[in-house]
Amino acid sequence: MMLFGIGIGVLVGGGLLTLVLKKSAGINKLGMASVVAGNVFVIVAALLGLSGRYAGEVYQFFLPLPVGAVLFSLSPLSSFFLLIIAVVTGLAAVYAPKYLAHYGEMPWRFKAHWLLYNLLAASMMLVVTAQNAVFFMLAWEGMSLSSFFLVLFQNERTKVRRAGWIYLVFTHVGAACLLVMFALLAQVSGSFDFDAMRAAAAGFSPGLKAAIFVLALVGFGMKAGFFPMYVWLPEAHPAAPSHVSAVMSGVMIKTAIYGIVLTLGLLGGGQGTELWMGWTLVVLGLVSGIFGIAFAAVQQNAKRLLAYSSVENIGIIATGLGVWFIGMASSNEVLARLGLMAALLHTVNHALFKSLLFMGAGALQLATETLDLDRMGGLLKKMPRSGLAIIAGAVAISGLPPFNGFVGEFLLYSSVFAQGFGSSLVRAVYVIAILGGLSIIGALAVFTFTKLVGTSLLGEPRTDHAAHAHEVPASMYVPMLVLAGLCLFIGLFPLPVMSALKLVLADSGLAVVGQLPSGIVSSLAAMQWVAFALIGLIGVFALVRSRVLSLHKVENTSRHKVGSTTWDCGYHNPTPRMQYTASSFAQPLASFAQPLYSPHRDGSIGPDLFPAPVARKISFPDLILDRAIKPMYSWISRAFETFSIIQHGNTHWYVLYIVIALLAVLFWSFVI
Amino acid sequence: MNDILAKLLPLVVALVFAPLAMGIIQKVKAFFAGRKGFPVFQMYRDLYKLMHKGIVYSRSTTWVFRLAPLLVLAVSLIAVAWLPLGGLRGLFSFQGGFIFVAYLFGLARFATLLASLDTASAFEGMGANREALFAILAEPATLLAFAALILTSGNSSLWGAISWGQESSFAEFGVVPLLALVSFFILALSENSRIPVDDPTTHLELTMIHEVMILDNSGPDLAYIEYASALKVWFYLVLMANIITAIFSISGWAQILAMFGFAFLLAGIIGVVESSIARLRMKKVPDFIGSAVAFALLALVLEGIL
Repeated sequence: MMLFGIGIGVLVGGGLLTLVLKKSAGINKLGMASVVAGNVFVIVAALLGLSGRYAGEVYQFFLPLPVGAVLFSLSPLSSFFLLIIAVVTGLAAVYAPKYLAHYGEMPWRFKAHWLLYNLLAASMMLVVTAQNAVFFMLAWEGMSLSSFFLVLFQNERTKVRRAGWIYLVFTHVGAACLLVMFALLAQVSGSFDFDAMRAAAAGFSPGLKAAIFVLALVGFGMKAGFFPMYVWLPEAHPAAPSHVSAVMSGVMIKTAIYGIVLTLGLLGGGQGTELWMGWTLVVLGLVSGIFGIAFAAVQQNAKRLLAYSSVENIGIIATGLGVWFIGMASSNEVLARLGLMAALLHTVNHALFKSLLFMGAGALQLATETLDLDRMGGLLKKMPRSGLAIIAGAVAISGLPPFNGFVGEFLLYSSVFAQGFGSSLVRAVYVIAILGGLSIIGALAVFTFTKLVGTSLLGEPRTDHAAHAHEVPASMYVPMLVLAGLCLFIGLFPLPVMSALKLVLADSGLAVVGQLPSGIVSSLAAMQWVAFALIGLIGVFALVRSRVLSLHKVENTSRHKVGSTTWDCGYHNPTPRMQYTASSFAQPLASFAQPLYSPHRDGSIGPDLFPAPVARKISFPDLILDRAIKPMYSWISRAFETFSIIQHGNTHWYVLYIVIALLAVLFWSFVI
Repeated sequence: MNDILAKLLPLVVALVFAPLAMGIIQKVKAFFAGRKGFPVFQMYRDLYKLMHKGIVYSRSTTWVFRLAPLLVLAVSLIAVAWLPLGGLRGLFSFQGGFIFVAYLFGLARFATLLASLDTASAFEGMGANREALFAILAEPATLLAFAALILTSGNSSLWGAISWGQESSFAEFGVVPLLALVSFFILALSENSRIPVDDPTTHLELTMIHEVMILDNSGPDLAYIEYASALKVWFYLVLMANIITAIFSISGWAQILAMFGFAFLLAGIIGVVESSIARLRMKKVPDFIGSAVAFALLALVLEGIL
């Protein structure tokens, strides 16, 4: 527990200490060092907490609050999220200095950045450990505000300011819902302490539970990015510096997942759930998943694409939570365990591969000075190490074996074999939803990430910048390779990781105890062997290939050649411009699903007699922001404009209004 | 020891007979076209010839392009090793195995797509694009059809479902396995780039899907890919033959004969289908694969009602 306190202290102190330094390089180094040092303490504390060392203990810090107290605990559930936060913020901090260096010499901005970055890390850690609603909301606000200012790093750009504004609005609408929710809970239970709320939960009426569930879903959903509340993600992530996007998408939105799990605990664990809550989460999760990845598929901006894909992954996590709720409500232990395990596992997995991919996008941006996939190409040859990490991340996020993304999805898939759905028709609906939804998400993810990798890393460079790109410094690609290694490790050895999660499931608030079904354990074990066999077979085939090539002495003859031109159907002089771009890759999908995308086309390819240079741009307006929220607000503002006839600037008219108002009030009181 | 040998048998049979099935398909097509066609054993010779050639690598390509053929063949090998062959159990079998195998095919698809984008060729990019697009419908169809088949029997693995079907006859469940079978037949055409989705023998790159993605592969690499495609065709043929023998409850030695009989018969039917209809326009392909989704959905709903 001391370790955790020291860790938070080092984070905050280090952030403040950067203020006294003068040189950018020194500031960046100190900032990084303080995050790494602080996180080492936190990681040790979290590992101890994960082993159940501090289970059931609640600590109070002497700092008094106006309402409530600074209560926190390192229960296995809190420690689990703490570990993810500490690992990802630490690796992102190692990545940050060289990335920040490309902005130039701007000491004050870096000072502010590190102070805010450390505060963001510390406040996220407090969010997942807080045991008092007031303290929780303070930490939550600290997290929202520090990340808001981090997004505004390049605040001289209009687009960045706009993105920050959208983020601020959404995050506070969400926080408002949470305030109402905690106020309701406090009113019924008579205390802001989570323990008191848990104790009072048994007496909650179904209506109150429903209200709390909906408020939690909207409030936390705004932060997590459920459909249709995801709007800020594709705006804020591209605007922020890449390591900040990595932290925001990798771990910050996961604090909302923690929030939902926490709320269920507050509702009294399994007794608090009802069947409709579970189905709501499953439907919401699958819809988020499909819409998120469908929009990711057509993006040309690498980070915007990744932001949409976060919506997809949050959807998969929400589906897992929904399966858990369904299991709890129908006292189906197998289903409950599978759902929660899948949700938690996918939370770790997404934190790993999404932060990896955001760092990768930052590396590509540094090398080519753009995030536009249509202006990249051929970068794997220039940046072999970061390229390798990005490819590993892409395979992992597409949910393909032998990487970690597959394991979480497999657990969800396996839930279709569970028994006890009541009627077999309900089961058929469940099977269709899970199998159909997840497989469409999976296929779209393959579409999206082959596009991302294929157009940025493979092929030929499309611009001079891309042609002269260089590998990023080791401090940037090493964190990415570490993350890629972790993805592969969880994919190859899922069982140890899952047994480490057993205590988290059994955490006091959740009480999902017992073993995973033996069928699933043996499936995972068998898949592990097949994965090794796959790797072995690849090795054997590679060996055979090189043996037959040397055996038949074709090497060094004209029949064997390395470095010829690509066969382009008889055309001998292909240019990089003839390659498929990210936009051309997306075009058929966009035309098949026209109503979903309603692509916006600028410029035309006219049927002129003589060909002339033309510019054509295609963009995909967001379904919610550009096609629902913006039209709605412009309608509202138009509606209010009709009132402008009474506002014309003549003082005597305004005095007349006051007289009319007074008379009306007098008349009103007279009548009453 | 005998046990392991028996488990390896489906794999060995696949490795030996897969190219023959390809030969049968082309022989049937040749017959309908009024040609003599090349011998049914031609593919073995082609593979042998390709293994003796050198490889030409474009300077655009990277290690991704060299890895893909190895991965694709490894995946096909594992898939046919998993598939039961009549009364013979596959090399491994576990709950949800079909999901794992479907995702392994997904991994192979991922590698093929990246390898084709690696060549920087406009044609290969186009093929990759189409392949990725049509997979959006083919993936759910595959999983739903498998699920209908397996859940009908109350089992959780394909081996369990097939052996259950052979003992107590799928016929009891009437139309469900039949609908899954139809779904798999459509998938067999679309996933193996057959007419009406794709034409493996056309000379026009613009109309291709799968063949155009491997334009730049040569020598042993091409042999690996061709062999992997043959194994994938075999995978679908045996899968369908399994369902048919289970529907008719054929067991014992007759079952082994029936397996081969149905597998080669289905190869012939694919040849007939390919000879009798034209390739669809690209815009119509999603409708065709979508019908596989529809049949699988119908099977699952009926399974729920019955």
